[in-house]
Amino acid sequence: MARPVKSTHLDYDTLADLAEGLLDRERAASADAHLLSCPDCRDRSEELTEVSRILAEAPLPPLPAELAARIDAAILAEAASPARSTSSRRRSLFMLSAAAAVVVVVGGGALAGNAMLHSHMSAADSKAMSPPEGADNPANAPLARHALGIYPSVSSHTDYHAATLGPQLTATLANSHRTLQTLKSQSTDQSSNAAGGTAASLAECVVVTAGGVQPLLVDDARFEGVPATLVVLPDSRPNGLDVRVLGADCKLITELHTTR
Amino acid sequence: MAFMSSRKTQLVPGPLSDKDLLAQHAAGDPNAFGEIVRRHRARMWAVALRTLGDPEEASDALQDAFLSAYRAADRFRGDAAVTTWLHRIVVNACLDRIRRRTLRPVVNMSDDATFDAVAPKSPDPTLAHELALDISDALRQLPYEQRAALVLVDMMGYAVDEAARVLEVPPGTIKSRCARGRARLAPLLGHLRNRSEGWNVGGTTEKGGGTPSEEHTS
Repeated sequence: MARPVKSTHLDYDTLADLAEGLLDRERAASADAHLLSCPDCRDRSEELTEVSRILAEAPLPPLPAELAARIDAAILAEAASPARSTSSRRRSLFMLSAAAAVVVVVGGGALAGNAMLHSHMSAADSKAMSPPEGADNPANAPLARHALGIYPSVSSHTDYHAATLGPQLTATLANSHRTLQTLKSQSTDQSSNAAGGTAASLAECVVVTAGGVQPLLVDDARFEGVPATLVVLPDSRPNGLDVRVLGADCKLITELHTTR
Repeated sequence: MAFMSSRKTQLVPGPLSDKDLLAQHAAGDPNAFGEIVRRHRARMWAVALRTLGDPEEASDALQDAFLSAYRAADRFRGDAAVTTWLHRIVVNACLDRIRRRTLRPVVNMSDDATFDAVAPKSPDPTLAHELALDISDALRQLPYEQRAALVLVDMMGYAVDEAARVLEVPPGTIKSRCARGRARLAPLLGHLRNRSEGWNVGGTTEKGGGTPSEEHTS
């Protein structure tokens, strides 16, 4: 720190300290006096100012979309981890066996899930939003999708009927992309759903109902006029749909097979 | 229907403060933390990438940091700003990475992935890339403490006092680290200064942020 200033040229360190006001009064006065008579040192002082300016003007590096998705996924996984046992937080978590997929409900209040899907949209294209096409394409399906079994969840308000189930679901599936985007603005809505309870309990319910299969869609809607949650799974036929209709408390009302 | 929507309007609050969101998270709200992440991740990414200089390490550090913040949210003391607290966690996560790095070979900065991550896209990618890489290279030659101080003060534009709170050292220490860092960078960035002046022949005197057209560069 104690560098002689008198009559010698000022080095970068001294000039930088001077600029930051770190020199004591005597050394600062001496340095200022030298600067007045020394163009070389003025140049060096100017170079230091330039350093700050060059650093300040460096453009912000853009956040890679896949990193945003990865962080969202890590946080969702953390939220679902049994190790998280803070009592105040416990009720918001859905604890699952290690083998079970962690399901994130999008819509009906799951803001975090929305975040992940929106990250996907920027990371890949909108195909990633619709499970049947996007899930098989690694480029469109970032790790989070496979790791967490995300599915689109909507509240279509459709009153489904057994006789017209196929066409009705085809319509909802076709519209679910649009619906998901719309849900973004309502994502703080904490309304309950037909299967009863919060988004987290619905998620748990869906995991049990789906039995390890990734749902194509979960629709909080009506069935034959009664509030119901429809869990739509693929079945083995081409375009086949395995539809499980849940009433209050995750109770299975009926299971139907249809096609789209 | 009208009743529903007016009721909804009342229920949906305006944008919550970071503090409110953090409190909601600590109280069990599953959505609150995601919102905090979305608000701050771009800036935190810049801090991590510039502090570490390596996109892979910075990605890991950023993920570590947000997970730490998630876990530590109920220990957040309300007397600090959430942004300060988050910056501190990010900077500490970077420091952890640096400590762990000891035996690893230095990453080759000409690697394409690094090139793309460190240098943002711009209408003239070559110049922006070179500038960003030069700055990144130069920063990597500084001791960690000086680099962290310069990233916060000179690059991210925080006041000395704010940087001092983030790094938990006295303001005088921040000033001193910045001064040491600038003194070391001056000769390292000198060539950049001269070259960027060369880019601007016949153009503006602005350097670094400018994107001179092709005629001016030839």
